[in-house]
Amino acid sequence: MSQLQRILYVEDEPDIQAIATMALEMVGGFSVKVCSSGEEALAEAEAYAPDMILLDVMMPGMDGPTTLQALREKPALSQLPVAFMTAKVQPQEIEYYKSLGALDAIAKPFDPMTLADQVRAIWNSRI
Amino acid sequence: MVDSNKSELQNKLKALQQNFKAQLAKKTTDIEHLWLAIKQETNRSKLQDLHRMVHSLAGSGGTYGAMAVSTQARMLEQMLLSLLNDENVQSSQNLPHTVCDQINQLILDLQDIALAWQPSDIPYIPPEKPLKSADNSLIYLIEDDIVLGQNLKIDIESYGFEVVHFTELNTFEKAVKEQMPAVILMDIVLKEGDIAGAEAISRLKKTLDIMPPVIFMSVRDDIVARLAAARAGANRYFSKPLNMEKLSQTLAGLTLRSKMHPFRILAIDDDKALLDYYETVLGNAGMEVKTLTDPMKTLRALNEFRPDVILVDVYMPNCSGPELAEVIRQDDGWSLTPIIFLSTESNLSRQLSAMNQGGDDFLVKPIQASHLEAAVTARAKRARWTTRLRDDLQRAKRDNEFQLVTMNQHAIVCITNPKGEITYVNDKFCRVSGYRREELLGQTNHIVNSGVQSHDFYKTMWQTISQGNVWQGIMCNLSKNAKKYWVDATIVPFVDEMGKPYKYVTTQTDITSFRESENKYRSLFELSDDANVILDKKGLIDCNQSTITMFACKDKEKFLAMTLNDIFPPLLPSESSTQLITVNEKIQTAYETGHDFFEWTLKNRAGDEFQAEITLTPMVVEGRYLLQAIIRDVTAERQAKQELICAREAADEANHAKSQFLASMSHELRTPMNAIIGFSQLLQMDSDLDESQLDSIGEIIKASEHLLKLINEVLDLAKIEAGSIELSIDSVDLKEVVSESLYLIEAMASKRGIQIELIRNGKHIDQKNMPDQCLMVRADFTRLKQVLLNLLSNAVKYNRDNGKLTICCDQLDNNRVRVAVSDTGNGLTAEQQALLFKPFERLGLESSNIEGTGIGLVISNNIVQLMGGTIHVDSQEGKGSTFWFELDGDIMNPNNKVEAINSDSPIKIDASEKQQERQEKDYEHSVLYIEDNPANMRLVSQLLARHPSLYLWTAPEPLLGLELALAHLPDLILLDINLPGMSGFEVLKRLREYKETKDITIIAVSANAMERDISKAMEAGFDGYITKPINVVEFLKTIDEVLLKPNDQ
Repeated sequence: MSQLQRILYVEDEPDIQAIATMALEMVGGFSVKVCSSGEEALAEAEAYAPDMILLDVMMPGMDGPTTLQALREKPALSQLPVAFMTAKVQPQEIEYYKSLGALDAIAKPFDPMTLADQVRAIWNSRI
Repeated sequence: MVDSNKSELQNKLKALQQNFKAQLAKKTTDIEHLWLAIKQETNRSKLQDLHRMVHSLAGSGGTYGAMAVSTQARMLEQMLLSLLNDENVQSSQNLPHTVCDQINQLILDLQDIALAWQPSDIPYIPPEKPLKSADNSLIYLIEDDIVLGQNLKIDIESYGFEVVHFTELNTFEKAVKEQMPAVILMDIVLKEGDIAGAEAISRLKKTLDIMPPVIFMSVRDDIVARLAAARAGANRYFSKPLNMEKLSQTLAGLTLRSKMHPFRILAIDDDKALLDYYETVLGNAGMEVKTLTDPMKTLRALNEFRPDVILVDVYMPNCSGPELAEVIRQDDGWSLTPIIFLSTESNLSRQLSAMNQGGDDFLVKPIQASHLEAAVTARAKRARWTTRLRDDLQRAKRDNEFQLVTMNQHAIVCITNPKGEITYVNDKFCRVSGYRREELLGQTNHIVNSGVQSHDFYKTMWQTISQGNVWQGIMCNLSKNAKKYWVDATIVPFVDEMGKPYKYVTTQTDITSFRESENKYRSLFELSDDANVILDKKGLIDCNQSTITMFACKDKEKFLAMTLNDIFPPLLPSESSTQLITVNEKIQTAYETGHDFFEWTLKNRAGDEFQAEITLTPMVVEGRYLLQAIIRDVTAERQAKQELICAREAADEANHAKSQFLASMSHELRTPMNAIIGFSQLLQMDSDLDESQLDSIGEIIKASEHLLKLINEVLDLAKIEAGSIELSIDSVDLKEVVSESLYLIEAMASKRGIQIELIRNGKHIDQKNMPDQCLMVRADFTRLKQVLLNLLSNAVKYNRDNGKLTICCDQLDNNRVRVAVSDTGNGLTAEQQALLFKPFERLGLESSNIEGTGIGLVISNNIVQLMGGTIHVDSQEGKGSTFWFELDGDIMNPNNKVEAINSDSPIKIDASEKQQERQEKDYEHSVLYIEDNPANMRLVSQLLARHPSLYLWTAPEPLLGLELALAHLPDLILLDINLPGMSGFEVLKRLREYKETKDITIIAVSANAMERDISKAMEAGFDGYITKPINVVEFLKTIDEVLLKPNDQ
C-alpha cells in the first residue's frame, strides 16, 4: 500500500483553507494544493495528480457533489479517493456522500491537530 | 509520523486566530449590509450570496474555536435557507414580516456575539522547567526538532533524569566543556548534516579525556548511519520512533555504570602468589577482588561477596575447578555468573571438557595483566547486563501474571492454537459455558457455537484473525445446558516474526442481560404509539414507526433527513414575547437537568402543524450523549377538550336561558290566570246564572286552579334547578310539621275513607293526642312541610278507597331521623319506579281522573337533597308503596324548651292576630322578633307572654320585620341571623341606616354558637347575642336588662 502524500484540497473559504492547509502540511506532513472552487479543481486536478481529494460540500458555483461528479468523468481521476468536508455529518448524510462515491466525510469544524490523522484513517480505510 | 514542529504550529494557529478575530467585525457588518440591501430589493442571487456568507462564517467560526459565533450563524443560516426554499419569496414585498424581524434580530445578536468573542482556545503549553544543577543523572539531548525534543525531554524527565535539550551542535559542544553529562543522547541527522551528530561525537572524543556514554538516535536505520555511529563510539543506537520504555532502561543502565559499584571478582586458586597477582592487576583496574585458597569455602564466599565473575584454578586439591563450577551451577542464583578457568592446560580438548562442566572461558597461564583485565571486564559487563535483563524479564513476567489475573477476574478468556483448538480457558469461561475444563481443552470454539449467527459471520472472523488482525464483535454462544448467552468478544492473534499467528487469545464479556434490556427497550421504542425519536443537538438519529406516521413521512430515511428546526420550528414561548426560542434550548435543559417536558407546535413533512407534548430524556449510547424524545400528538385531545368546554358552556347557557324563560313565562301565565279565576269567581256570584252555567264556571275555576298550581310548581322546580332557592336550615320539630300537614290532608283522606296511622319509633300514636316529646331534625320548616304534604297527598290520591295511610318517624342510631309515608294503593312496577323522579312523568295516569302535575315528587326529592337526604321508594305491586327519606337529627336537647313551654295546647303561629286584639298601648314595652322558624317563634312568644308589661311583634320574614320595626319602633328587636331572602346582618344594617330605628337595641338570636360568629355579630353592631337552644333564665334576664335601662322610652 503506497503512502498518502499529495492532497488536493477544494474549499472556498480562505479562513478554513489556511487552517486546514497548515494542519495537513505541518501536522500530517502532506503536500497540499488548495483550489478555491470546483472549477479550479477540475482545471488543476489532473496536472497535480493527487493521491486524494478533500472536497468542501457547499461552495458557490459548482458545489462539492457536482465537482465530484465532474472529476469522476476524467479517466485519470475516476478511481481517486475523495472525502468530503462538511458540517452535515448525520448518518444519512454520510450515506448520501458515500453513494456519490466518496470514501467518507470529515466533520467541520475539525480539530487542526487531528485532521491529518482523520484523513490518513480514511485513506487507510479504502480497499 | 513526520517530525513536525508543534509549538511553531501553535504559534501559527494563534496568529491565524487573531487574524480571524480582526476580520470578524467586518464579516458581520458585510452580512448586515447585504441583508439591508435584500430588504430594499429582494432577488434570489443576493439571498444566495448572503446564505453563503453566513454559511462560511458558521464553518470558519467553528474551525477557529468561536463556537458561539458559529452556532448563531447556523441559526441565521437556517432562516435564510427557509427563505430560499420558499417559492413565494421573489420580491421584497413577499418577504414575510415575522421572518424579517427574526433575521434582523439574529444578525444583531451575531454582531454582539462576534464582538464579545476572544480567541482563547489555544491548547495549553506548559512552561519549561528551570534547569537544575547537573549531577550524574544529567542527560544532554541533541535534537533539532524543537517539539520532538521538548516532548522527549518531558518523557525522559518523567523517568527521573535531568535533561538539557540542544537544537544546535555548537551550543551543545560548548556546554559539554563546561559540564559533563552522564549520558549524551544524540540525533544523527541534524540540520548541520545527514550524519552531523555522529561527526560531532567523533570530534568531541578527540578533545576530551573522558567521554560519557553516547546513545544515537535517528530516523535513518541504514548501515551507513549505523556505521558512523559505531565509529563514533556509540554505546547504543535507537531508530525513531523511539521506544521510550527501552530508552529509559538503557539510560538507567548507562547512568548506573558511571556511578556504579566496581565489579566484584572472586578468585579461587591454591597458589597464594598467583592470587596476589590477580588481586593487584584487577584491583588496579578498579575492581574489588576477594581471594580464596580453599575451594571448599566457595559457597559461603559466594553468598557473602556476591561476585560478578568467578576465577577458578583448574587444578586444586580436594576439588577441581570444573567440579567446583558444577557445584556453583547447581544453585539457580549463580547459574548465570561467569566462571573463568585459569590453567596451564593448553590441550584444547581438555579445555573444552572443562567448559562443558560449567565454565564460560579458559585462560591459559601465564596470563598477561592486560589480557586478564580485558577478559574479566568483558565478562563482568556482560554479567551485569544479563542480571539486569533477567531481573527485567522476571519483573515483566510478574507484571504479566498480574495482568492475567486481572483479566481473568473480569473476562471470559480462552486461548486457542492456530488450528483453533482450545489450549487454555479460565474459570469464568467454564462457569459461563457450563463445560468442565477437560471437556473444552482440545475442542474448537465450535463447542459453544449457538448457530444464531451465520456461517459467513464466523468465516469473516477467521479470515480476519488468521491474517494477524484483531477481531472484535458480538457473538451468541450456547452453554452446555443449551442456554444462549451473548458476549462482546475480542480476539487477538499472537503472531511470530513472520506475522503468522501462533495462538489466538479471546477475551469475552457476557452482555446477555444487557442485550435483553436493550431488546426490551427496543421493542418499547418500536411499539410505542407515541413517536419515539433519538436525537442530539446536531439532528435526528433514529425513530420508530409511529414517528414516521406522525410526521407524514414515507419511510425512516425521509424523516431522518429533516433537521431539528424542520420539525421543531422555532416558536415564541408566549404571546407577549418577541424572542423566538429554538428546540436547542430545550435540549440543553434536558442535558443539564436530566429531563425536560414541554409543549411545542411541530411540523410534519407536509408542513402541517400540530400540537404535541414532548418529553426529552438524555441517554448515553456507546459513549455518545443522546436524547430520547417521546412525542405525543395532542391536537385531537386539545380539540376534544376545547369542544367539551364549549359544549358545557352552551349547556350552561341553555339551562340558564331555560330558567329565565320559565321564570318569565310563569309570570306571564299567572297574570292572565288571575283574571280568569277572578272573573270566573265574580260570575259565580251572579245569581242570574242557571245550573249548567254554574257548572261550567265551576269547571273553569277548577281547571284554572289546576293550571295555576302547575305554573307555580314549574316555577318552583326551575328555581330549585337553577339553585336559586334559599333554605333556612334550623331545628325543626318533626311533630309540628307532621301535625300541620295532617291537618291539611285529613279532609281529603276522610273523603275517600282512608285511615291515617301515626307510628313513632315503632309505637302507635294517637293522632289527636300527640305526646309532648319532640323529634328534632335539621331542616327548613316550610320546605319540609311542602315535601311531607306532597308525599301525604300522593298517598291519599293513589290509595285505594278505604285504604290506609301510615306515617312512620324513627330516630336512627346514627343521629338520623327517618320519615316514611306508606299507602295501600296499587304499588309501582320496577319500570314505574325508575321513572318516578322524572319531571312531568305521571306513570300512565295522565288520562286517569287523579289530578296531578307530575312534578311534585321531583321538587320534593330536590328539596330533600338540598337538606342532606334523598327520597327512596319501596313498592310492591298490588300492595302499596312506601316513600321515605332521612334527615340529620338535631343534637339540641329539646327538653328544656319543653319544660319552659310547659303548656298543653300549642299556640298557633298566627299569635300576632291574637295579640292585636289587645291594644299595643296597654303595654309598657314592645319587642319585635324576626324569625322564620315557627318553633322558635312559638317558644319566644310563650316566654314573653309571661311578661305582663311586654307586647310582642313577630315577623316570619325580614321585610315584614323591617316594616314592623319602622311602624312601631319597638324597644327591643330580637333578630334571627339565618333568615330567608335576607340575612340578619343585612336586616341589622338597614335598621341602623334609618334614623328612626338606628338606636333601637338589637339582639341576635342564632344557633351559631361559635366564638367567631359571636364576635362577628358584635362587630357588625348587634347589642347582644343569644344562642340557640335558648337558655330560658339567661334569655329573660337579658330582656329585663335591656327593657329596664333608664333611657328607655
